[in-house]
Amino acid sequence: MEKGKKETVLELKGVSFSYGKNSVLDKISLAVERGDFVGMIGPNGAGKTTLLKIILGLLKPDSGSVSVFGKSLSEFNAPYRIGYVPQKATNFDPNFPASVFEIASMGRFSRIGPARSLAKDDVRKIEQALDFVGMLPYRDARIGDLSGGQQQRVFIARALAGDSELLLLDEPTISVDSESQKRFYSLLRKLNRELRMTCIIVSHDVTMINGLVNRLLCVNHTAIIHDVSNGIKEEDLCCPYDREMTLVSHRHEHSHG
Amino acid sequence: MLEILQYSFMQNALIAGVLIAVICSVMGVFLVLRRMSLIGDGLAHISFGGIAAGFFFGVYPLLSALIFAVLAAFGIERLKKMKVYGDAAIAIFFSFGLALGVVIISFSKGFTADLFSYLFGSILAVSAADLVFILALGLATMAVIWAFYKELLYITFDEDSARASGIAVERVNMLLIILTAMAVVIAMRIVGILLVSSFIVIPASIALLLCKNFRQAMLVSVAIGISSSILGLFASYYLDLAAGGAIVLVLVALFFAALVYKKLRTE
Repeated sequence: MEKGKKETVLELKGVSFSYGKNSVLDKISLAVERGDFVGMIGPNGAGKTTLLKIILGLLKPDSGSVSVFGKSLSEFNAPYRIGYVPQKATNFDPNFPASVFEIASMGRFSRIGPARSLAKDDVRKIEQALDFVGMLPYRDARIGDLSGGQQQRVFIARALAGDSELLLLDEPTISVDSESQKRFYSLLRKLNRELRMTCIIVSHDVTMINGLVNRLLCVNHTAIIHDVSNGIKEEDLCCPYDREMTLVSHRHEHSHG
Repeated sequence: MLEILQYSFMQNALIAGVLIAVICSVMGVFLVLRRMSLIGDGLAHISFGGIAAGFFFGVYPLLSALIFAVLAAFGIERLKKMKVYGDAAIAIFFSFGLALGVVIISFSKGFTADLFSYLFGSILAVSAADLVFILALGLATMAVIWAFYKELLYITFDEDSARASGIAVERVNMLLIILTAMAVVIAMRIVGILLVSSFIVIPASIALLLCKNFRQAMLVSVAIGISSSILGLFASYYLDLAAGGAIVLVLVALFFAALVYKKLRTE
């Protein structure tokens, strides 16, 4: 009914990918609208990180097409519109000499381009982003001196500083204590509701993302997407675990396409 | 005015020394953090082959050294793409350059004395022509570092995120290694082939012990590089020491002082 209002931020059509002879993703099709909060679940080795990397343009699919913000990935020339918080984001050299401000400023680097320094406007954007995630008071602290949860918030600020409109998070709360996890998820909620940031989060913790995400993407070589606006139910967790389920999901895709 | 500053060779050495210090100290911060400390050493040894070839064919030795170092920089990156381990790729070119130099020397014994000044560096050696070459190359290197400072910082911290944000990581990596080749050639005349890498590695290592942010690390590294360069050149003049050796000994002393300072402060 509301289709006229919808803006497709991300669209995958029949995307397949394999490492050598090992097929990782098999004909994945999905569409994500602006303002969606997609939770991505699936067993280890199901291809979740691979799927994120394809969306980011870091890996090229063997077949199928990916388009972001209405442009095919090969024509897309504004990668800063997609923010990325990698799985190993907090797994950096703890002695690395970089302040919180310097880390957050990286989000604007590709926007600014070579041979230019940060302008006043850039500094303002970076400070706003740090303020939004509650890390502005730590502006000059060394990133390695912060807790895991605080570091994750700085990495979110890095994506915000670049004005990204689509945020991809790969198991962001791994190695973060449960109290910080809760704060982190409520930050994501604020991001999604207040800034209308479209988010895709890979998570193992279904209870944490329940109520936060409005769509649930189950990935296991192929993918099924469920509407979970009214909470995640038992049957939504039914991932395409085996061959039979794979066939089911294909039929599902065809009926849409 | 100090008597030492009246000699034109000393003026040349000091100007070159400060420029070298700035470039090597800045490059050092990137290279040490990327675990590429030995690339300077590798490229310097390759340049040795270039220097020997230069003498043999009558080409300006710093120019032939630059050509060798830059070609090797491309070669090392190429080998890495072909799945040769990075340090092995460096070692292969390292040995190649050294072997080539030694073979060329055995052809002709006429220039071994000159070659020695390149191996160990010399303050007497910076001619007006050298100074012009060093200045031109040095200013070009600094301009490129300035232009790509942000990109270098991002990929040094996290290559994956940098790539995802749209930075051309492979190209910037290539640039980093070419800049290193340029820095090595610039530094070689004074510090000597054998000591070039300490000039890249030690100021940065001191800065990394002491600093909390990147800009500060850069500034501290450069300050240490410049002061030890000047101190070493003065010591070299007054005590008649090899310039490169004197500078590096000052650097090593500063490194241990920084280590002790850090230990005392954290206790």
